[in-house]
Amino acid sequence: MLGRWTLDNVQRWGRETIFLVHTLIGIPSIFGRFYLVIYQIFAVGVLTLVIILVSGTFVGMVLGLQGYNTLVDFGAESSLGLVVALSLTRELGPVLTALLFAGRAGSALTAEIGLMKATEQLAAMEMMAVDPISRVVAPRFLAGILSMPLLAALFTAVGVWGGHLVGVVLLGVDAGQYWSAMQNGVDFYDDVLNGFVKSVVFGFVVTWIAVFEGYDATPTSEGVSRATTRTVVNASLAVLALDFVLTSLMFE
Amino acid sequence: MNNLIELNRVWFAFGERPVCEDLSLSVPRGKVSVIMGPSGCGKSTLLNFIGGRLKPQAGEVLVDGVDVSRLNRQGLYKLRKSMGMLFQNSALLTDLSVFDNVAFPVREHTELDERLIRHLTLFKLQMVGLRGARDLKPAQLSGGMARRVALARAIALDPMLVMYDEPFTGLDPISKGVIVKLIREIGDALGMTSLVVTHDVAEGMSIADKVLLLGEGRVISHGSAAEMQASRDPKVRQFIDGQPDGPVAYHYPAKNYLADLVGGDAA
Repeated sequence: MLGRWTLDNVQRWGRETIFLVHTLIGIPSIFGRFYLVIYQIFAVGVLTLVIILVSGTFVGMVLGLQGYNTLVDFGAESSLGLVVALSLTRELGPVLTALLFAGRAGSALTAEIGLMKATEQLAAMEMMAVDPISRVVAPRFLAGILSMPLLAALFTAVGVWGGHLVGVVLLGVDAGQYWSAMQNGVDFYDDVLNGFVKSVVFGFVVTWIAVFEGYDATPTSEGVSRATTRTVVNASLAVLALDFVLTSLMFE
Repeated sequence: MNNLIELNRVWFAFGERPVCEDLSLSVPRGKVSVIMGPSGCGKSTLLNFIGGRLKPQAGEVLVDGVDVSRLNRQGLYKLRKSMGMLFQNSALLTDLSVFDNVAFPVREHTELDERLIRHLTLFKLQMVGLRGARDLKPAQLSGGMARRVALARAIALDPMLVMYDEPFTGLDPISKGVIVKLIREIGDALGMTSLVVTHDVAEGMSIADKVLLLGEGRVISHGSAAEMQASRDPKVRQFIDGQPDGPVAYHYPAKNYLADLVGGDAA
């Protein structure tokens, strides 16, 4: 029982790795037809914007509220801008964006590719001598990696604005203090760049899992539904675990 | 070489279940060949051998003199450009319009001018009578129309071989008639070799230059449609006349009925 589970999983990781190599090899061939990637950036990036912007605003507002309530006891509410900005750039921006991205875009990618497999569209492409990995998977993969950092940046930006909305506009922290604490305390390399690196890594992993699960799905309605669930669960777990690893490497 | 396709002593099994046992057959060039047989006798598997999507465990599959099962990926893709395949559920790309579906293989494999692609595509769509439907999406098509679009796509690159996997299944009589007419016309007008896999006896017989009857993983009988109609072989007769019992048994293999009833599951 345990042996069978282990064997199945090792095989799966093997397929996953071969699939990744195959996809990466397929990426150069799509630069000649970049419109495929543009369309996918629309599908996975632009269509995810609404949920990212709304969530980012609310997360920023909560940070503003909780941060203010804690800091005001120590008379340190002037640091509110710094607290909000650091939490967002270092952790919440990349991580929450990746979780939302897995739920919104990752599940859609898996379901789309899985259904293309179930309706023999991938087989038909193969029979037309068109490699489905470079035609279907590679553009989606690249679009995911390109979209994720942009989405995380927007999440962080609207979060800072949401914190401002609650902290400054509602609770009366001085606007100058809010922004200057942020400007003095946030380091470009340590905070912004590290957050960016995180979002690229998460984008890579989430999209990889999503396209693999779709491509590897059992071609039935039940198989596609299971694959979609696996995408969201595995991608979310991978993001949270990787975040711990990256944080411990970056912020010693 | 009068045969475009030859299978020699092919063996194949899905797990424990043998599908082909020592299967040999040949498909003549430029003719319409129809492979018939009951469900689950390896007809579709056969198309997968020829398209190189499955490899037999023993034996050779020759297409135009080349052993498909020994080709590498590049060789296989090169060969597939000269094959068209019509899938049972049409397998149109759902995010593209009818026009773009038919133009898809041409755009993928050639650097032709967009004006020329338009001419080629409209010509193929005209052949299947759907030039007017070029802007529709696959979801807006009926089953019969979708299959005609898939057919136009299969012949977009003027292949030497077109394979049809159950082309008549699930169609109304008119659409069936249209597909029958198209397979015959495409074979004759464009000189392509057609290989049709079906279990619809009447339609299959009406277009076949050569009929191959498959059963139990082997070719039971082959010949022209007239020869098959005149055959006295009980296996051939059972399939053509649609008798429920005969050489192909009505009952799934089981132990003695009386013993089963009396003895219960313990026996």
